[in-house]
Amino acid sequence: MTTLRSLLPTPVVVVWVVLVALTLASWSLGHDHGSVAGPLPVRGVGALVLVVAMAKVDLVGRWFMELRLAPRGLRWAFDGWCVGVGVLLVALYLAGS
Amino acid sequence: MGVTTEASDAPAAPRWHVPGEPGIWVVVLGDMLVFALLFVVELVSRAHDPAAAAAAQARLDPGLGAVNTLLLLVSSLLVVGAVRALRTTGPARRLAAPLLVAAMGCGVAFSAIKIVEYHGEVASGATPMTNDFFLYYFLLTGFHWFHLLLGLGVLAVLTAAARRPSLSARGMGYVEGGACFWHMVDLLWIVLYPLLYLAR
Repeated sequence: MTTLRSLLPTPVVVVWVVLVALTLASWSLGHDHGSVAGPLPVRGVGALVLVVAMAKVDLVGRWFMELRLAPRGLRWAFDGWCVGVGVLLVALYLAGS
Repeated sequence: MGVTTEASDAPAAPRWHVPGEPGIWVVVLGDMLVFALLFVVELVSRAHDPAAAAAAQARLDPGLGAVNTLLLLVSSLLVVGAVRALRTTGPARRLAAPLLVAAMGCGVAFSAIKIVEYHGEVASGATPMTNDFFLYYFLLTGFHWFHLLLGLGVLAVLTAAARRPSLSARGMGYVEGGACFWHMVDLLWIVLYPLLYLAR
């Protein structure tokens, strides 16, 4: 166990727990498809879970793919994808109703 | 679970490091761009008939999608552990192969759930021909699943490499690159799940 623990340093484990928590939160917010009147509007929830997804992708890149240690160009390409695709998807999603 | 030192990869680590070798990033970023295009096409198509898309989406099971997200997150953590194990020379190195096999188990479980989902959907009359939402649902999840199956092959190769007593710098680069491919399979599903299952 100590050996396994040494392979998974605390920051990586914390990031993983955050990813799991965000997944459960997104499921909890979105799985009703707005059938139950909640405090948040349906389209707000949809936009929120898409933004959360992009934040999760960035965490996967940074901590699991180890892009935090990568040269700037590669990090920018990856972060650019997260931000660019995130903005595009949220805009199209909100414009699509 | 006592206080432990970092895995012994810290010495001699350069300031910056391209994970894997540069070629894998052409594949990973290229695949991410193709998927981004598919995400956009799906949303544009959905805008043509939001009511039909919402009705179709309501037939999906967000719980199964969430379980699959969690399975891939577990597999990613296992792969991170395996790569770090292979950078060590101590007893932790022996954990690399079992960690990779466990990650493959997560991928197989993902596939089993996806088969159950597809079976239920097709049995209830939802096929790619039903409407545009299901066309893109099957296209996107199918294309993702194809990448996951490729990823399982990559992890199998990595498992064989992990059983060797040592790896060259080049071999380690291939291991890191293969690991990044698997993380890409994970992150693409992280976007696909809310896009197809949650965002109405």
